[in-house]
Amino acid sequence: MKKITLIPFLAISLFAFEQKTTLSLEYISYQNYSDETLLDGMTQISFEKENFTTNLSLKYLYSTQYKAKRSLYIDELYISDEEENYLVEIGKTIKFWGELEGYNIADIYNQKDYLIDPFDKDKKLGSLGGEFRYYFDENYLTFGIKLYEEDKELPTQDMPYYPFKNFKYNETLELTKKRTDPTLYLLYNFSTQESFDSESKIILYSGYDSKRDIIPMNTTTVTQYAYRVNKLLFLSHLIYEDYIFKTELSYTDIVDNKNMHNYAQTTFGVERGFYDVVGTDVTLYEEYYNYTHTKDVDVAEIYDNDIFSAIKINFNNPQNSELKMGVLYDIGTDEKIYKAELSSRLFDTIVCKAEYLRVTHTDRVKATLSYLF
Amino acid sequence: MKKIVILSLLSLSLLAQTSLEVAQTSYAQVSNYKTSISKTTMILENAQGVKNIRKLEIKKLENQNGDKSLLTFLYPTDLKGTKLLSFERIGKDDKQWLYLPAIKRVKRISSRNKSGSFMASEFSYEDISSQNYKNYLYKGEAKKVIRNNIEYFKIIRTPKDTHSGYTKQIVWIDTKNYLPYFGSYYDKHNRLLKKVTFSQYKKLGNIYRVHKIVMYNVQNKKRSTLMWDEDKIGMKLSKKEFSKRALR
Repeated sequence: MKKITLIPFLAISLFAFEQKTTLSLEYISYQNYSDETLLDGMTQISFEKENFTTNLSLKYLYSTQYKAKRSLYIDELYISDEEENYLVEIGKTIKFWGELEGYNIADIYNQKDYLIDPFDKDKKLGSLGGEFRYYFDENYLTFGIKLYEEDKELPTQDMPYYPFKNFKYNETLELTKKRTDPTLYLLYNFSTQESFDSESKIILYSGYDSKRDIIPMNTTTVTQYAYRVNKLLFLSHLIYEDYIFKTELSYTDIVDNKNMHNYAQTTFGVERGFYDVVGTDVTLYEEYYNYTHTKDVDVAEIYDNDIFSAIKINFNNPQNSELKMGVLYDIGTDEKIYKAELSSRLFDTIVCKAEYLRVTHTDRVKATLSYLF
Repeated sequence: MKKIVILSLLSLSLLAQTSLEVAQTSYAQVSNYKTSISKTTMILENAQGVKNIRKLEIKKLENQNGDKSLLTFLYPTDLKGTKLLSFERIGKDDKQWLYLPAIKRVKRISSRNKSGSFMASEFSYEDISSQNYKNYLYKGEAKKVIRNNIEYFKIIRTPKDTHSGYTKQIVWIDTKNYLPYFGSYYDKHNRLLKKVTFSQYKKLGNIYRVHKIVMYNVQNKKRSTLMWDEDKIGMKLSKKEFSKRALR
């Protein structure tokens, strides 16, 4: 018995083990809905041995007010093997494809987690798949596959930001084919250094679109419909003196949904940093997003003919205090979304954050206290 | 009589060293380590004496045209896993990338950020980059001065980079071992901004390694101390550990 106990213990001790847990207590006040207190936690565990790494991210949520926000799930679970010239990664992962700050049209591998916060682009759901990456010095070529299309939860009817007004929403996804029909992508990352300093990605993507068509199931209920597409994406940033110029471009060819038509998205942005300004670092962002479709089909797209302007002030103090303020302005409809966020570390393990959001004349105020260990 | 004057002048000129020569010899004492892995603690102290601690791992790769470095933040926990990859490029803008583990994003940083604060400390990015003598201009002879009963060369150097936060730096270098021990750095208005102290040198092989740097900002009265808890040189580190591949 002792031997059996010792063997798994020894096996674990051969790995380098790391864990990081963030426990956040949020108080969220909504203008037209009940306030909530939310416990939002995440534990990340990684085992590392030689070139192999295993990562696990466990998420747990508990809202005092909204039942839909009570869950425990594995957000990421993957194993990777990194050798001299290549990398293999298999499992449920979250990836980031993007250059801009306000919104990333190219960040399509994972679905956004609209249930937790529809206005936080960094909240995403892990997707099951794998990739093989081959390195050529600083450049690389990746072949990837996504193996499963997840259901997409949205805020329920009793919650703020429910998008369908008088219709019910069924979160079980409808698809043109099976959920397990693979989505494939080929990504080439390259950089230039001599004539100008830039880095770019070209992605060929074939499979289910990250955008969904909303279809009626009956006279009272709607659901999301996943259709297949072929996409070409181009992402790039270029450094010129103190400026970083950025772009994300995409063209989508719809394969099997007659309700949708081919569309293109173009985004451009510029970032300028000012350092040591009265002891602070100030970064300014200016971005433009556009969405064009080949026929007059009204598909929900917030980032269409919009301008995003933002400022980030890093106070350069030991508390890492940071103020971010931004406005998204829809040129066509004159609508504006405002967001301001102030974060600071209280103690080495406690971080506090205050956030104000104004969307179509309704306000949301959030206060967060996070404990990290 | 003339002969004596000429001879003494000749001997003086033979003995005197230019600031550049001193800087070159000083740099030779601390360079040629090829690679290093260090674990460091940084203590940030405000004007009231309240202290904050940061811990980071620093990997370095020496290069003729500029060193490469990878900094991994270990503490506090909210910064854990954040990485900063820097390619120093002598005579050109450096290149820097920041890896943010929470959103798995590699973000390019404007390469002209020399004077900005590093990790909210009194060290700027140029303070923590290699102190390669090629990054500065030197004038005239190195003066010998006595400070705390020890003889130092007092040299004045001017950063070549127009984006430096300093107009000049005065550095005191020990005349015996050619290691820098003190510095006074002047801001763009030519006012004294920071005083730096280098101490706890340890000899690893033929190379001296500093193990404590204290940077005191005389204008805001804040102090930052960088201490080496572990320091290894000549380690087997591959190029991939100093490429964007390492940012994951």
